[in-house]
Amino acid sequence: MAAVERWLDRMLLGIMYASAAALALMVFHITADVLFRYLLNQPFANTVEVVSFYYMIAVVFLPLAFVERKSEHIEVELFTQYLPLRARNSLFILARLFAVAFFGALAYQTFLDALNYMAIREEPMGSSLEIWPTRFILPFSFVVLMITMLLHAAKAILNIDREKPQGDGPDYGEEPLSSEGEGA
Amino acid sequence: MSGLAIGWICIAAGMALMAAGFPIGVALGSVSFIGIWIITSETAAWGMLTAIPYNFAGSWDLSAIPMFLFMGFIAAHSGLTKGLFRAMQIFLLRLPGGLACASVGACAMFSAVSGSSVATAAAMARIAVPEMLRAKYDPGLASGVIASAGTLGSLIPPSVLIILFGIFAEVSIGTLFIAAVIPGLLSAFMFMAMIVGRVLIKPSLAPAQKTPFSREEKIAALREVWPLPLLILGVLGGIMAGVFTPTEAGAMGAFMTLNIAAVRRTISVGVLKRAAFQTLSSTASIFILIIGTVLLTRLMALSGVPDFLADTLLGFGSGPMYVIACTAVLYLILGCFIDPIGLMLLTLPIVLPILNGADVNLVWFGILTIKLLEISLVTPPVGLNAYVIKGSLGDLIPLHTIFRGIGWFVVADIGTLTLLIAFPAITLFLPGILQ
Repeated sequence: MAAVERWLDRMLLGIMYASAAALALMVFHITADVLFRYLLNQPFANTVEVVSFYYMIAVVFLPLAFVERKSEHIEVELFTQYLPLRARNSLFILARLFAVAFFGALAYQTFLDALNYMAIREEPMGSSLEIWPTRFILPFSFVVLMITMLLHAAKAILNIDREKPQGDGPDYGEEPLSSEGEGA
Repeated sequence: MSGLAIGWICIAAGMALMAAGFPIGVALGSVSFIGIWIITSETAAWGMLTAIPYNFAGSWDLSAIPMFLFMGFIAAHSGLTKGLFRAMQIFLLRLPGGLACASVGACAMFSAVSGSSVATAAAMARIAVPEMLRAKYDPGLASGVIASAGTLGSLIPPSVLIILFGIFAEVSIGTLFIAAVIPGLLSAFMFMAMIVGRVLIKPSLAPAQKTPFSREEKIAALREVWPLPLLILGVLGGIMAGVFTPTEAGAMGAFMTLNIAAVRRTISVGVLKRAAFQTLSSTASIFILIIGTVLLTRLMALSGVPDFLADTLLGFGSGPMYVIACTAVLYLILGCFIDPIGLMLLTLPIVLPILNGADVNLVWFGILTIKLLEISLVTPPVGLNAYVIKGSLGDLIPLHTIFRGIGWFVVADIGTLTLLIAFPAITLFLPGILQ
């Protein structure tokens, strides 16, 4: 289990760097586009398409497993917090297994889609930029998320009598501004 | 079984899963998948999974969310917002409860670079609350002011909630941002007025500060914060003038914040990494919620639940006031256990058809919705911001003291809300002259 955890955490860190690179590129690409358009009157081609279908897909889906690892999913804790520890942890395990089924369905369907769109070399309307490659980010991210959830479920079964049985996840050097990871 | 019955069963099942602590996106997404399968067909259900996650993530409009979050996190982690509180103190020192008023001002300024209430409250709590406690302020006032003024993060643009409202209600995000400026400032003003009033009646809440700032201190404080108004002017001014789309404004804002931090030598690999990881984590968790809710929206549309509800509610009354009253009650109840983004996304599919039936201005309604959601952000039992303050401060102040302190601010917020409802011009005036 510990080996799986180490291996997974290393992979998650790599995935987060890839996603962070997409985020940084997004900032620079859009800024450069605006500057070129207003200062030199020369907008870039396909900025909207590259931002939407490349950067955004990487920014939204790649961090999913990280969100699970750091237990930052948006959840309702009001009712479960008063349950006894074992019941709470059992619900945690049940939720992981249920979510694995849901993301499994998503992974299956989005993988088939990715194959389909690769076959037809998908392009967005009014542009000749091929956008199908990032379609594979979806099933990939869902599968990594499923692995992470299964790991958390297994840890929770082993540590059923412990508070927060899945642990805190590795320290990626992030000092949270808040205990909640959401943008409310 | 009729579509309507299946729709209700699925909503009930989704609520039950949410209450059991399942991730909200998973709870809503899975019941919708099953519901759509039963009401229409297996093909339709799988088709939803093809279309919705990819199309909603691959969206130019929604890309404004990570951009503004990134800008706010860079600003916070690189210390750009640190001097804010001190600078505000210089301006507001003479007011009764000067430190609390300075907190409101600092939160309002921070809100103009941050799209999130929670981030605003968390960032300001560590800076301002300990200072107020040192000055012997009432702990309830010291913590309540940050929890409440932190909610300005969602009202004063940029705002994640406003972006989402704009996309789901099909209203221009730029217009909504402009419309939110005056209500945001009004909220801040109401908070300050309430503080001044309370301290005048009961001076022991906030002992007056005697030491005025020296000239050097004033100059140092201003030197610390000067880039911030410039940044805000650039970002919001660009949107108002129609030069940037919100996404472009967010990207330019993040880029400028990076440059300011570089000039001030407060940027490092660690700062960048923290800001990026937090942005990504927030974005991904918001989008899973969005995807789950959009799946539910499709199920609702197929089942006819929203039309049924709209017909039923409009059977009892009509007119904008009635609809707003219904929404307020709905948010007050549901706001007790769902976070604001989830609450807004869940209820818009129900509320929007009713609004269209009642001929309500959607820009005005959008701002009222955000204000209502903000109030739900500080009211017990969930009151996310109160927990954020508690989380940031550790055991410094007990939770019930924070909620007690928030009470007066909720009164001020209800005052603001009443003004916004009674005078739609407060909201609609600015977008009107700019377009």
